[in-house]
Amino acid sequence: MLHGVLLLTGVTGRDVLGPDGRVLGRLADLTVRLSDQAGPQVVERLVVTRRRSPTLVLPWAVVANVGSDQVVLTVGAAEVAGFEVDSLAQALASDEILLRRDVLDTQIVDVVGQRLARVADVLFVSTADGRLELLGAEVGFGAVLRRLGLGRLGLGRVIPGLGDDVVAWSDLHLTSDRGHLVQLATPRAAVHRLDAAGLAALVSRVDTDAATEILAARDPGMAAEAVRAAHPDVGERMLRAMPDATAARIVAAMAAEHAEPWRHRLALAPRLFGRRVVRSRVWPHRRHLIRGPRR
Amino acid sequence: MILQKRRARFAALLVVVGPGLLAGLSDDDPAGITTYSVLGADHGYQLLWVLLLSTVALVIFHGLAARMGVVTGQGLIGLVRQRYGVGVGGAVLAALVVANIGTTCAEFAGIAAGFELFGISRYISVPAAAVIVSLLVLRGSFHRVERLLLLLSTVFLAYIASGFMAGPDWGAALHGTFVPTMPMTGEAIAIVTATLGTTLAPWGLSFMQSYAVDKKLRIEDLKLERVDVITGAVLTGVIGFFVVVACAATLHRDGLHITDAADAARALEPLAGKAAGTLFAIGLIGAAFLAASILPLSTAYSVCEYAGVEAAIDDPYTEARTFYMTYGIVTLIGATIVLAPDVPLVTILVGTQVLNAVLLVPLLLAMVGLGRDRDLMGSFATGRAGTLVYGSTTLVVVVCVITLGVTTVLT
Repeated sequence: MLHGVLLLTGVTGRDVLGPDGRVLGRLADLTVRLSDQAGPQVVERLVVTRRRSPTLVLPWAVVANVGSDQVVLTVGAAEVAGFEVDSLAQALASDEILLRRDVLDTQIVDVVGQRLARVADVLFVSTADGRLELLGAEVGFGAVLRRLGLGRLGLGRVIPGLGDDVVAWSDLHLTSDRGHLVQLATPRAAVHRLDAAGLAALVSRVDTDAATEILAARDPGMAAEAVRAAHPDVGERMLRAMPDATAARIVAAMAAEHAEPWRHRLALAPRLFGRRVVRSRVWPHRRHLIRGPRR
Repeated sequence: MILQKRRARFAALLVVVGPGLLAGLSDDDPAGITTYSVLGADHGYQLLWVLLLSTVALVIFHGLAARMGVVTGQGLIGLVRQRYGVGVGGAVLAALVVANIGTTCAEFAGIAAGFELFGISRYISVPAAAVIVSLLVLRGSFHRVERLLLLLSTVFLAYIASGFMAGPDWGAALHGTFVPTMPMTGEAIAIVTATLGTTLAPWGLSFMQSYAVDKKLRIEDLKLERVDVITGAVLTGVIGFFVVVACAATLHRDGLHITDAADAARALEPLAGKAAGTLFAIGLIGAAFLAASILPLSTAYSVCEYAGVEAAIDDPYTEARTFYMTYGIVTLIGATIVLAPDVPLVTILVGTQVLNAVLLVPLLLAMVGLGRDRDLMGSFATGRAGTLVYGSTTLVVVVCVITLGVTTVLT
């Protein structure tokens, strides 16, 4: 583990105190906005739960310091009342995700390593101006053992693959429903930087609907290249799942010698029994709405 | 035109069929057949209604497992980790792995007992079975594995034939199925709980969900998947029904008691003819083979789901080491325990049944909670009416487990 790195599972669960030392609640979650702004991704807001009182969603600006077992705010009980929310879902901005709910313990695609993994922890580093900068997602089983209190066994040094394994935040695609949709809508997300080969590897690891959404988010030329780079069965599955006009646009963007065989293939009746040979491991589609504007 | 549509629909059904049938039928494993045999031999047709209840519970929870797998694209243990954290997920996984290894022992013990009825030593049958089931999954593609397992499950027809040959009293059988009566003895409570517990097994639930994910079923497949689930559950109930009927018509009539399914096969021969006993033994071997293939598979899926590594039957060994290693280790331990001379096999099997029954309660509660979670299930989340149905079924299981615990302590 890097020195000075903070962990999501270590930060959340701490008591949140006012400047007078009074406990205001417990830190339940942190949010980030996957916006298109340049620069590092930083924690945007804190979700603080309280007994028998509405949840608070506070901007990071009210944090005075993050101690070893508590988070101290610059505002007291009276001021935080203005940050109460009735519904957490409605309080989130359209590009905002919750790190515990939408990232921790969910599956991600490491677009560089071209693999599927489950997030064991989220790593931050404290910046000079007191903010928390997002570094990446820890995916090794060693982190799971650490969370279970078994980290001291030192199995990571003995068993290969149990050591630290971190995927940079810029190199992952979230598969939680909200994470996937928000990343699709965010031009700086990894999914928008991938070349044809990388895109083919990503769409081969997500479900058909998610794959077609990813292709639809790129221009037809790049989508056509990705279809050609993927396994033919994956390409066929995606093109068949798209509206005819979209599929036709992607095929038309191919060079003539490639477009013609694809048109011929798509004109044939789908092979029912061959449908499953594609290398798509996960996530048939879940349609959740990204709820309303920020309060 | 109508014929073409029907053909297309039937073809689509054939594509989807698999998870429900395999998860359901593998519940009729040697432990299940033993329980049904004892139910029929000791109580005749009277407790057949328990099978109807179990089948309904199976439809309800296997349907939920399939829906959760299809909608979230994740297996049960992965979802438990995602929603309840690594602690709860780890505890459930640990209990599931221990229970699954114990149940795998039961399957290999069934293979040993079945072959010994034909004079083949367990030192030949068990290692051979372990190698065959390992090769089946290691070397086969998903489609080949699925088709072979489905083909293997046709051996259950032997029980139906065996039931007919026993010449049962169909009127009494129907009465016992639809009119519930209950002798209030500890023994009867134990067998009712065991029947419910052996039909609705934790490993069956986790297998159902993981397999639906590995099969890459999609939301548009859900309607046909329901047909698969219902067919699998009903067939499971029907096979159980015929096992009970065969034993009720012969062993119960003559006042004979048995302790396991192999006993039942032996006892059936003089009462219902050699063919009935042989068919019963063949059914036992086939059931044990099917479950011995599926138990390690279910465990491997669950371990990989929790650890967050890729797991699919189509993946080569180099890309899914944890998956194949888990499969191999569970198979090896299960087979070795059955062959080891001084291992207390009966204690292990009884302990496994208890662990399975106890584990079922938190697993069902977790499923009800996950099914209601709108963040995970979106518009497919369980509503109030559904929660009532799932909750009531869980309550019945909880009451049965508690009653079994109390009666066990008292006796």
